[in-house]
Amino acid sequence: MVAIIPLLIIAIMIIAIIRLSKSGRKNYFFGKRIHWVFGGYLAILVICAGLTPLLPTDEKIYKGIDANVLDHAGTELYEAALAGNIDKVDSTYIKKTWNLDYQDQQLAITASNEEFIETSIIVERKTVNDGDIEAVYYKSGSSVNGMNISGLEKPLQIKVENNAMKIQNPERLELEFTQFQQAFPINQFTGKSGYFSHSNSIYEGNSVLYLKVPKDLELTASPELNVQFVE
Amino acid sequence: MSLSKTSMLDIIKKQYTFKLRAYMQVFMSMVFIQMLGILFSFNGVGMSGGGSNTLSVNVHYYSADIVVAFTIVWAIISAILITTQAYRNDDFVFITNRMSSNFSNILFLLTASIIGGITAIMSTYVMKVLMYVLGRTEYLSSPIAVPEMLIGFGATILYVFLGTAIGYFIGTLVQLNKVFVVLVPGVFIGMIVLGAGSMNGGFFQDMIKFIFMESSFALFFIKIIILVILLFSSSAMLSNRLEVR
Repeated sequence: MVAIIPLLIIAIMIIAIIRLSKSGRKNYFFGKRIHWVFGGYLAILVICAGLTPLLPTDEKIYKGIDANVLDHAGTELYEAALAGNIDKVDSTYIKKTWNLDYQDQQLAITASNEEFIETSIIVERKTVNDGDIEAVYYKSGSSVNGMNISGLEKPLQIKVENNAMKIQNPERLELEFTQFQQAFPINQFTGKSGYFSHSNSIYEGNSVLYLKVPKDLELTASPELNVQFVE
Repeated sequence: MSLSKTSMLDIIKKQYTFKLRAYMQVFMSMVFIQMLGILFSFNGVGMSGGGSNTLSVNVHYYSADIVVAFTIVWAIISAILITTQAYRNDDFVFITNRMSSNFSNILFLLTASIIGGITAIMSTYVMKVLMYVLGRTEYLSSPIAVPEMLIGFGATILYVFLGTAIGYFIGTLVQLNKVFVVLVPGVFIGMIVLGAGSMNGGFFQDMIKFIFMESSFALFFIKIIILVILLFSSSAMLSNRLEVR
């Protein structure tokens, strides 16, 4: 049934074109009206073309960014963290910091709800036993179809109780976008996207949870977590 | 024998200006068809989603694709229409022969293609403004660079012009013999069906690739122009075999 609908539309179009094209032939009064309709349509097109650049570009229109640049930045963040150079990382990557008072000698790091945590956890031992865990969540930029959505992402959640640090994934971010594409005669030559087909390129940035722990704290981590120590 | 001599060029020019006025209603149907296209596009021409554990993205796409496709259909049908008997007889108001008649028709169709192509691409602006007016502002802006826009105009005009050439050819065939009313759609459907079964595609798929997949504008331009010349010249040759009036 659904397959018939496009055929029906085309049939209606054909009939309408023939009807409209024939109706004016013998009737010269109708000729005037054609000028009005056609002229009006052209005027609308021109007015809209003039208005388009004037449409307000508020913060809802995202900045463009190259996913390759983001990819590079993401790798850099991870490598810097692993090498202990986290201080040199762009401070805009910091999404959340925690200062946790922790006096016990043992700490188990686990994922709450046993979910998969994509974030790499990198641990640095301090030179002193100050009974304090500093945790910083870093996330490098993300993009959807070449536009920067970094500001929208939510941070990881951490809870410390009963000698355990429970890590929970950030709240799932749901985004709805409307995107204007060029018509196919343009995309054909610019090499972007195919005919009536659409694919998204989503790049999600690297995230790192950087923990600075007291010198002699004994750490255990669940095997499914990706925990590494600064080299 | 006539006292005044008129050159071929003058006749073509006269017929062309006459046709611009007389066939004005062709543009009426174009306005209708493009507005219909804009209406259909309004629901979005596509949607796609994706994401991960922490991110879910849905993108609704809008473009002038449907308007352009509709305009090409309009071009084919309009070209068929002006080959019909009633339109053909208009030419005999003037001193004419088949050649001047064909030439003025082609000139008219070229004009129609230019108008159709430019308005089709410009319909994007109408969509953008309408979207804004209706408050669907959460959109990703992709500003159109001027060279891209010019390529868009050029390519769309060529597509529409190819449509008129195909329509004109079909129309001329039908004038020659009414049997083509059945034969042309039959051959068309046959080509699609024949190609569908084989892995490397049939003639129809090859044609689609030949035109729609061409990524160099210069090559695309040459291909379309050659096709258009072939179609129009064979139409002209066929029309010479028509009976007088």
